[in-house]
Amino acid sequence: MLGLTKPAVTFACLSLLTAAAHAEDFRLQNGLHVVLAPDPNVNNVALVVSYETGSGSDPAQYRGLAHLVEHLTFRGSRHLLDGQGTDMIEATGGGSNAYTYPDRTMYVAVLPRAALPLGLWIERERMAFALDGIDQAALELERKIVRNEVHQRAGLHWLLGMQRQRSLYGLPHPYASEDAAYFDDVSAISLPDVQWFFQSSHRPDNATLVLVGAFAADEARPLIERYFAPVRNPELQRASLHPPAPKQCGVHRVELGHYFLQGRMLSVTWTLLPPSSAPEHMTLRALQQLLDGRISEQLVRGSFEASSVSVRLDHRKTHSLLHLEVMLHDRTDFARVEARVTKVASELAARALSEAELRSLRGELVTQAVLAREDPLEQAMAIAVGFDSIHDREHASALDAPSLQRAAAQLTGHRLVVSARPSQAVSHGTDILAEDNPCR
Amino acid sequence: MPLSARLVLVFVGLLTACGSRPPLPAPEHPLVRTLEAPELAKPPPLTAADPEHIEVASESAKLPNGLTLLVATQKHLPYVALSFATRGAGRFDGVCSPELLRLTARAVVEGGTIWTDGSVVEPLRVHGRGVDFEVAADHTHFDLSVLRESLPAGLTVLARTVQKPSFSGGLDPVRVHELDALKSSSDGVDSQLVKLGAAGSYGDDFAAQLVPSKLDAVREASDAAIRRCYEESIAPETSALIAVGDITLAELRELATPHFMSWPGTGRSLGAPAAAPEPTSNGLQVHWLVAGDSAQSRVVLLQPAPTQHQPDDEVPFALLSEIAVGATRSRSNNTLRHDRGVTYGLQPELIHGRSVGLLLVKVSFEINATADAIRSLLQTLEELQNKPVSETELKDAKRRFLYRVAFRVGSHEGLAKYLGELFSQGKDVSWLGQLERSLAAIQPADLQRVAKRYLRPGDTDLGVYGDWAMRNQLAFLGRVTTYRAALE
Repeated sequence: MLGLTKPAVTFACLSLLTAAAHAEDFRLQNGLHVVLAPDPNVNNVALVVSYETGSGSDPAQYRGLAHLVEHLTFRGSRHLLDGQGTDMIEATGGGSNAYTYPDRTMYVAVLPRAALPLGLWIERERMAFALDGIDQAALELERKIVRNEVHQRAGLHWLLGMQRQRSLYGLPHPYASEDAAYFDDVSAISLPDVQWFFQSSHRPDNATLVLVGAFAADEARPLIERYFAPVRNPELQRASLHPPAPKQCGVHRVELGHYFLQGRMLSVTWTLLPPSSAPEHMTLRALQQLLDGRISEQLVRGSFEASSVSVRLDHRKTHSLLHLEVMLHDRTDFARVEARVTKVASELAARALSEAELRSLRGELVTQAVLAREDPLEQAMAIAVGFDSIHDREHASALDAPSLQRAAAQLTGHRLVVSARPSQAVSHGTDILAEDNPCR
Repeated sequence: MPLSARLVLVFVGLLTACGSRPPLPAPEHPLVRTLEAPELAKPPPLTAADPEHIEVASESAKLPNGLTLLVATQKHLPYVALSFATRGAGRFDGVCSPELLRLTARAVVEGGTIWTDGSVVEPLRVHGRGVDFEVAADHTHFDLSVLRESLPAGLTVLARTVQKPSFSGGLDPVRVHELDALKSSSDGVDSQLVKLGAAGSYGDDFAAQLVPSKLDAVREASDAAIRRCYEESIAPETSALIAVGDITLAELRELATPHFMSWPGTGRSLGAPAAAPEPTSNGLQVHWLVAGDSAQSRVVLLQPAPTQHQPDDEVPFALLSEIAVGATRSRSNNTLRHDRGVTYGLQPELIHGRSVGLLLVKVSFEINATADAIRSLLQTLEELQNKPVSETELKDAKRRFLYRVAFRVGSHEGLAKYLGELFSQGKDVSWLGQLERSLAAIQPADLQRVAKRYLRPGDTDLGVYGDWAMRNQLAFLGRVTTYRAALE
């Protein structure tokens, strides 16, 4: 019996995906959400299994648990030896990896078409039988590896990012934690903790499986049914996470000192309404692009006040964040750069783009969308988050000035402004030198 | 209850509150609820033969001035990746200093272009995209991807950019940007360790080429020096205009000829490369960059590798490094990460230049495990010299190698860059088509041969970063020279 139910699109942004002749989504009876987007233009298949649980679901004082569980699922299963899944994928010439994000944990693989059944089988093993492969010895090893990974990544941007989360959300909050507590927490996680967390998170009713690339839907559907329909959900409650958006109180300023690396950075974070449709998502991407282009033009190419500018969009369950980071030259004044940033944001909100500006922006985004079609993994990961990357080109072509202006209006109000400078006095990574938080 | 007893209870309560955390719910049992299905207990076989053949159909032609046109027609997506590659203009080629060469390439892209009406324009963009550049080990390339409908504009922009840089005044912004880039690429711990290891093994001049870091060379380069470097490094005879995507050779020729035909040939040909430098390390020499308080050590290992003048060794050596330090489940990753947990993983990099071949391995270790981990890493290399790899290891490494190449050439942009690399190495595109046969011919003995020929695990200079806690363990590895970290 087929375990399919009628299509149930849970992400609004996928609405257009179902209309596409070559894309479909459905849900198995055990709750597993499946999206199939065959694309004959590429040579590989991207497979993503995304569990709607990430580091934001770490219980208080159990920081690192989601990340540790992600690592441990590579340690074998009932029918796989330690590391054998990775070996098998690599032996086909494919590659696999996993990422623990605040809202989700993603297992990803890029496979030659011939290895699609194998890739699906390995993900079934992970979902159904990984707990058979996780023992105390594996836990102790992976604790060390996770600690090594975090140490290796703990550069300036990582530390500032952690501090920014603390300033943005306040403590305690699922998206923010104390640096020092992290390693203590990881050290104290026990095997039953891992088992409980796995059962509440790595389960069909908490997962989306996405395939993009060189396969036929008729070939993939029965395979998915065969491998995943028999996977049972545990009886204990499924993990759920709906963390509150940051509190908004005007301009929240933080001055940070950091003890390593030379350089000063200004970062501005705006909290935005999350996109509820694919066109809205494209509008935010257009805003990101515009902001990046205009501020780079002024600060990097125009006045040489900065060496680099980057703008990043970060979608969370209940809100989106737009992060701007500017690396300043030695003598550049923080306040002056902030004033320029504010002015650019205000101009975007005050004046709609001209037809020529809009045409140029559309061209830029359409070009990006066409180029992205060659990366099935990027598309599969975007779909797993709930964005219709398959139709980016159409959405970019349909971009309109009033929507963009409305989105830009969100940049004129509340924001978090962090200025970071080197300081010999700082003892551990980053310290707050001064703070003005209107919420307090 | 007496006061003393109450105080004891409060004290115990406080201890409990401070020393423990609320327990999580217990897992349910049985841990796994999914029923065993014997028919699903074994992994499914691959549904078809492995991808063993990379087919890239390409055509080429030469313009009268010597410029090569190279086209791979692929019509499935409406865009064209353009790349202009110049061989012999790499950072090890010695045409100009590596700092000046990068500054020159940046000035070509960012320093203003003389437009058709004689005015100087910058930045040149097509749909918001500008020309990118990279100075690689053996060539420099300038890239621009455009939608098919914008191809004429894209070609005009790329052609004017590479042929008509203004170089006349106003280059200070370019110097500022290049100084930023140079600082950020040379300031980090890895760069300092690479430099220390390279200086120890090959001498200071080579280290300076490997890690360009002379800020004064950028600050003080005159406009005339930049122009001279441009004229000495970029010429039609040593360059190729590459197009991948929705375009044919006839179209490229028609579009490119008006732009490039007036570019005079120089009659220049590529000179013979300098001889590959010989490492002079004797025994194990540790260059220790002492850090204040570090949670991990950082280690950089340099090993000689084939140059482009040892073409028969190129692929066997690549397979060897894959097995030793490359794949997620390489020998060293298995030992150091998966079995012992002392690292998050190794990051290898192969440099395959005209006169320089290097295998660089960068890795972070737990402080206390550093010396043992280094020994293990060097031992892995020794074993590859002493014993052939297994047939299975070799087969898997071949497949991964082939797949990685297939993956790289699977996009228009990736293929355009790859064709630029092949052009720079003097290889024909048919090299890709013959890769399967070349790989099939490689035996375990070939890997052992190249391991013996190139690797020198017993005589090497290592760069190590970490705090004083490492002092004793490093002393047991070999001679140790200490350096104070300029920045942390």
